[in-house]
Amino acid sequence: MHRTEANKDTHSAPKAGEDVFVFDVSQEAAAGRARRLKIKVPEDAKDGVAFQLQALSKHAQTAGWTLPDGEGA
Amino acid sequence: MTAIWPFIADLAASVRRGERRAASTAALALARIEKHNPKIKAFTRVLADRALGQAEQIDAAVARGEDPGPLAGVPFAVKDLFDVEGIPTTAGARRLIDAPPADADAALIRRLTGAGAILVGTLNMDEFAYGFSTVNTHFGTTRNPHDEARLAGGSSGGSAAAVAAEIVPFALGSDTNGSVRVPSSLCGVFSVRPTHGSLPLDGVFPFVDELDTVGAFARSSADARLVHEVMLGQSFQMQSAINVKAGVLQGFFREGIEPLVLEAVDQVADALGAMPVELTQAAKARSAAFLLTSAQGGRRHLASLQEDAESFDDGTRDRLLAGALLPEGTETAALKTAQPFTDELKALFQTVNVLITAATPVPAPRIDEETIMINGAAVNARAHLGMMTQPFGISGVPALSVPVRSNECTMPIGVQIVAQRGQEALLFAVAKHLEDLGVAGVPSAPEFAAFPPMKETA
Repeated sequence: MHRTEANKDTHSAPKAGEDVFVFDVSQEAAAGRARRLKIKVPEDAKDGVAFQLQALSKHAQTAGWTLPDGEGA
Repeated sequence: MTAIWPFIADLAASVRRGERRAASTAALALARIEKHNPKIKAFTRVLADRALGQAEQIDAAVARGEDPGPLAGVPFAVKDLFDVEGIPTTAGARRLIDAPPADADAALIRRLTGAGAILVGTLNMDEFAYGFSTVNTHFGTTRNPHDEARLAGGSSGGSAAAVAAEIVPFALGSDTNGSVRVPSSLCGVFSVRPTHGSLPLDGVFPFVDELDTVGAFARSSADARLVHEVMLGQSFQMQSAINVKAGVLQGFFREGIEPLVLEAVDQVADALGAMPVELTQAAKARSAAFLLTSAQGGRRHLASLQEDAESFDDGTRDRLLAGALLPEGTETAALKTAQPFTDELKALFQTVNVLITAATPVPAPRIDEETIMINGAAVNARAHLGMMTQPFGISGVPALSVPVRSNECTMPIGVQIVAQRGQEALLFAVAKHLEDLGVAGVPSAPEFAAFPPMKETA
């Protein structure tokens, strides 16, 4: 597989230049994105994905990003 | 240099002079794969026909009076994310085992084989290079040649283990967040993460564009340097590291690190007369790298996750799914967050030439060990093995992992030497200096050191 071929496996690029970036990985936000992206999270992956999102929230806190209230605790 | 493989330059020189046949070096590597791979599971595929065919061509060239190149007859292997003509590039993924075969070798394989090196196989890795353990559901867990109950590290674990077990004199891996430096530290070999963008990645399965690099694993700084020079297509000027200005990193880079590892760092710092220095933005840079990796990994594999998430290893699947569910803008924000660290690093390099820190916070954990202690807290072992390497990747600077000779530690441990972009020559000089001082060197893995010595000559 060449890099160019693998790069086709993408969705829309992130928006650049946003003034306020809110890192929201609450259950509601993640579920909304999953619906929009047509991702079905397998039942046996739900705990693992939630764990990963929590870990990413902690990194976002370390990065000093704006998080919705209560997230990342 | 060892009972099995001489220095790469000496091995190639003997083939170029017709004193040793390339067929015998290829046969030795293949015999060692057969003998040792069942124990350590470093190789995913053995390319015996290709290797023997290429060896025959090299021997024929020598017989005609031609020079096959500076790596003549030197066997090597590559992480299973490099394209190899005629076979699928799996990137360690079950879902790609039946992918269409690559129509050409990756650019760097072409450069190495063009210099006479012989490709003998592909090497195990974490699925899609997303991990620091080389625990792979389909291809198995690569074992550390110094203790088979312990991790080889990842994601280029097969590459590190194959060199540590002396199956091949050198191997290639890829380093996005530490995937060359981490396994080389745990397995006790030299490795290079080059300046981002300095080596071509054509034919290498991508992970994170802003972080991806590929580098060599070898058993001496001279071997690593020669392989790097061939890949780069240029030879470095010889330089001395005796007067190098070194800084040993404090703060984030010492917090929670196992005392034996800190002793190894201090051994190197003392040898180089290093002054204590600090990078206050390191924790932020590491988190930025973590977030960038997750977001871009999820984005890259989105179509596959939509189609069949169950075709991934469970751990990879969960990480990639989480990454795909991150808010848009995460990648841009992560790169912006890392910039102050890059600026701080640039400023620090006005004062010192190289920086010293651990490559991993601990020596190789046991495979069945889920957690390690960092700052008094039990944390996920596999996620934290890269905490020392991640901050530098996002700044694009080069780093070497150097195995340190320690009387106290029974498992190998690597120290990371970091320089400004484009300063690989200085890093190799520092590594050579540390070898000359007896501070750095590859420890023997006794179980793999004996069979079968290369006796055959032309």
